[in-house]
Order: sequence, then C-alpha cells, then structure tokens
Amino acid sequence: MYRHLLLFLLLALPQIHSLSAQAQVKYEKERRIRPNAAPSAARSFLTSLDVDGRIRWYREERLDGASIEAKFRHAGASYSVEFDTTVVVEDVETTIRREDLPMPAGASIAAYLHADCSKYNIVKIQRQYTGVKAGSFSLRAAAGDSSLTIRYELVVRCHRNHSAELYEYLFDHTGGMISTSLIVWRNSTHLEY
Amino acid sequence: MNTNVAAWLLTVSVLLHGSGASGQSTYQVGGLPSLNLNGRLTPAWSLHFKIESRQLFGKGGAAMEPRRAYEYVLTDVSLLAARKAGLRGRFAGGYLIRREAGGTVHRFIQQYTFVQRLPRFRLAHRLACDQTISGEEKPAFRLRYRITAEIPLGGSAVDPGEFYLKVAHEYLGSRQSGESLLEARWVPVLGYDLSGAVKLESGLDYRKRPFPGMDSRSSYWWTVNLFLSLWQ
Repeated sequence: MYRHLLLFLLLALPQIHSLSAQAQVKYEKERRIRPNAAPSAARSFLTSLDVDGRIRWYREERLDGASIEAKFRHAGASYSVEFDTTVVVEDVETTIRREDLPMPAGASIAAYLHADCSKYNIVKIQRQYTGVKAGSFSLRAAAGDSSLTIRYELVVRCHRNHSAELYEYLFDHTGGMISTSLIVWRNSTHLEY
Repeated sequence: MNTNVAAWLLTVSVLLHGSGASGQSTYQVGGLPSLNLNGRLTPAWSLHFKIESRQLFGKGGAAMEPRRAYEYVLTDVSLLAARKAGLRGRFAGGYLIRREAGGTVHRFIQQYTFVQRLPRFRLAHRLACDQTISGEEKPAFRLRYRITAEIPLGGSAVDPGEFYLKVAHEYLGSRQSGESLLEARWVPVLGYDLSGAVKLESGLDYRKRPFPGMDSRSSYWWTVNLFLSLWQ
C-alpha cells in the first residue's frame, strides 16, 4: 500500500507546482510592518488625522505594484488609508451601515443587486474617498467635502443558480455600478480536517 | 502581534492547568505525523485523503515507572468526500481504516464544518460523529466538536510565504459497551504556508481522557502535518 501511496505522491507533486504557479495570476499579499517602517510622510498624514485608536501598518504587494496601508478605528468606525509607492494617498475607506447609504444611491445599488442576484446579503459596505490631499483632509468633514470623489465598495453574498459566492461591487456616488469581482476564498483544508 | 502573544499564552496556561491533575493519572509521549491530500472534483465536491501514523516514545504515571522506548502504535488511512454547503460550510462523509497491533479497525465518519472569516483571523467549527467497528471490541460511537483559530503572524490573512498559529480545542464524547467517556484536546501548532496549496504545521497535540478527571491519561503527541491541495 505504501508503494502505491509514494507513486501517487510522485505523480501528484508536479500538479501542485503547476497549480501554485496558476494561483499567482491573482497575486495580492498583505504583510504587517512596524510603524517606523512606514514612510515618514505617511505617518505625518496619519498624525494630522488625529485618530482615536491604534494604527496598524501593512505593506500590500500586487501584480501592478505595492502600496502601504494604515488601518485604525476612529469614532466607532473602521478606517483604512492606502498610499502608493510615492506616498500619495490613493484612497481613504471607512465602513458604514446600510442605512448610511445616501439616497438615491442606496436605492440604485439595491436595485442593481436585486437584478444581479436571485438573493443577496450585504456583508460589508465601505465609503471610499479618492482625491485626498494631505493638509486639507479631515475624517469628520470628509462626507461633505465636494472636492473628494466618493464611491461605495460592497462585499455581497450573492446567490445565483442555486450557488452562493462572495463578490466585491464598486459603485459611484450616484449608485452606478463601476466594477464587480469575485472574492476567492483562501484554502481552509487545514482548518476543516 | 500582542493578540497573537496573548492567544499563545492562554493556550499554554490552559495546557498547564489541564495537565496539572495528579491522582492515578498516567501519561504517554509520542509522535503523530500526518499527510493530507485534498482535491477538488467540481466547484461543489472535493475529496480528502489522510494518512496518519502514531508512534510512542515513552509513558509513565503515578502507578508505573517512566519508560522510554520506541513503540509503533497504529496507522490511520481515511478518505472523505465533501460537498460545499452554502458559502462557508461543508458536509463530509467517509471511511477510515486503522491498522494496529490488535488488528484492523473500521470507522465511518460524518462531519459538518463551517469557517468564519473575521477581521484579523479565521475561526473554523467542526461537528462530527463516527461509528467504529472491529473484530476485537464492541462498536463505539463518538460525537465531537472542535473549534480552530488560525491567527496570521504576518498580516490580516495568511499569504504564501507566511507563518501562522493554529490553535484547536475539541471535546469528544464516546459511548461503547454502555459506558460513556469524554475526552478533551488542545492542539497549538505553528504553521507555514509554502504556496497556498502546500502548508506545513508542527506543534503539540495534547489529549486528556477522561475529562475532567483525576485518574486520567494525558497524551502529548508531537505533530507534523503536511497539507497538499490538488486541483483546487
């Protein structure tokens, strides 16, 4: 029996290697870094925001480049600030509740999801601010700042054809759909067996 | 990182507390390596193959002299077919064959697992039952619940090339020949994700039966687990 097992492993290992190479097509890796490893300009920007909670710093590597991300809680909400490699703020995101979606954007988003999925549950909603300029950005005043571009990023459990998947939808400030992508779950074999 | 340290310290303290009972307790120390192969057949169906071997390095206790000697105990080979249930759940069922000195044991397994993705770690629940038959003993029936936390050591999720802590706690009730027994397990391991499809783990598998109880047997197994995912 053990000889057969060994033979099976020898045949299977090349498959594993090729699969791991395929999986790298959607490469995204987030690694926690120490605060002093974050660029000083990024730290200065965070200091100017005067946040309540502890700031956690991450370095994210993607196929199209790398970014630095700061995550924290402020006034009961979760925030993340993403910087590009030149330490320019890419976007600021904050979690909001479903009832915080303004009208008519909220109704437009609900209508789109209703048409796209046979049944859906919204797992998370984030308000995304782009066009952020250091020195003039305020967490408290961001929602009413007309110089910022506001988008909504939703993580949605969407049922289609008797199967449920998790999707990320991006909508503009009027509720118009910009993009959608399937969220691929990480392998959990080592947790299940 | 402080959360990770706290989780580790909590585990160690639970282990020290759990193994502190004396009375007529006995202990055994050994190794428990396993190889796990998981293959996805369709988006919904998958197969899981596992081979696990148990070796004893020593044993002792209040009523017996400590003894250090290598002893092969058993080998388990199992195959489970699993079907995705919803977004995060999975039903699985299969068969395990155990080869040991006393003969061959057959076990039929049914389980449901549910994995939660929390902001900083993952939590997996497993509810399982099994029925064991052999030529030497009466049939045994077991019901077990396990909760497992996967704590990334490098970010908010475990990525290839990163280490993680996996801490599992399980209660296992069994009934055989009219007698019931409860066993508790604590399994803290350090894991490394080699490529997303390959994970290697090593750590302690501590078991205490009956639990709670003074006249119990504590088992300390050093585990090495290799997980390979094929056609994922």
